[in-house]
Amino acid sequence: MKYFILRNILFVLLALFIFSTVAYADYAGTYQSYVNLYDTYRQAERSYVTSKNKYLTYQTLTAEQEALNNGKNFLKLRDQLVILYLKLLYDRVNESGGYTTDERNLIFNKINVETSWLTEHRTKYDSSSTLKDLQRLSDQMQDRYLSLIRYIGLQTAGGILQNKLTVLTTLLEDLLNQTEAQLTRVAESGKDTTVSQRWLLEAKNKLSLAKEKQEDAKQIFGSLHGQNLITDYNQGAFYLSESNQYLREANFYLSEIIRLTKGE
Amino acid sequence: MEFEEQGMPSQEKITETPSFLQNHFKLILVLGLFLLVAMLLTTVLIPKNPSVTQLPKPSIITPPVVIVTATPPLEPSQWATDAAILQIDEQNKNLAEELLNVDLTESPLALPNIDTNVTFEK
Repeated sequence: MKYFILRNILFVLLALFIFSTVAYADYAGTYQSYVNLYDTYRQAERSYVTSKNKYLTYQTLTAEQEALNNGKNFLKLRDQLVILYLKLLYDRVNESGGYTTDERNLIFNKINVETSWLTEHRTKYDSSSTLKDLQRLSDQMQDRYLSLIRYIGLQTAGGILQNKLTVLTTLLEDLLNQTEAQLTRVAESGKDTTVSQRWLLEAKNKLSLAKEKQEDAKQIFGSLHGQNLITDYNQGAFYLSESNQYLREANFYLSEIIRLTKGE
Repeated sequence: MEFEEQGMPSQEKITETPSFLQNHFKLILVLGLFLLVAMLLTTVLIPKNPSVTQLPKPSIITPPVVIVTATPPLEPSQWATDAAILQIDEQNKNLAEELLNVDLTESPLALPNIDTNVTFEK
């Protein structure tokens, strides 16, 4: 009986240890795999370019076969790299705060749909026996990537940045509310809080500006499209950095209120 | 008298010169002492030339440290030890740290740089 209980406790402890290690290593582990695969992809790309140029120069059957084989390998790795990129996004969203369950599920759903499509598409390369077939399969992936996958990628990345600031904004808002309540208590005790009240007002104004910048960024991330995709994304990220600056200023004003209240 | 007659100077004439020098010697001595005292006073009381002796030593030029505070420091109040105020203070410091270190680039999530113009034709 004792042996049975001891064995169960050990099993539970081991399971907890493994679970915590895996949860911690999810994103970091995926990123490491992504970086490694990227190196392999680059090597395959060089082989594909070399064999393609050889085929285009000599137009022999041997060169065509070599170009076909290297092309297949390269395109499969390209699909695989995008699959891993989507997994990277998935893991990052999974460990990030600030999402509601619905928001998180919506993103996961989009990522899963694209991952399934790519996983299936990746298996088709092996069955292509000519360069023309390979070209057609490659075009399918390129169209899908340019019209859909990269938007999902940037929208998700932008959402992660935005949620980081949303969490910090909520913390600051809560802190300002607490401070306001404490200032009322201090004023009731007879201490003059006029200057502190002025700092509090300034802090609230900065908080409003920070929220406005976050709204601007949200609008941009939500409507990414067309040729200016990267430029628009960078603009959204810039609004968030401005928002962060306003939050820092508001938090500094809060520290002044505390200093005045403590009489330091 | 005999000496005078023989053309030799008298006792009075011989003693004329020492009495004159004695008078001058005193004057010279007083002047000498005055000069000595004046030199000593000059050496002791007048400060040395600052352009020679007080040259600043070569050193690294550092900008002045300017500490800007919004309001001057006050006397500690009864609220300095209040639990609620101290809690807000701690949260405020933690938040400042988080706002300073938040990563707003997420560079690992940048789009992969893949070839989207694959073709097997010229």
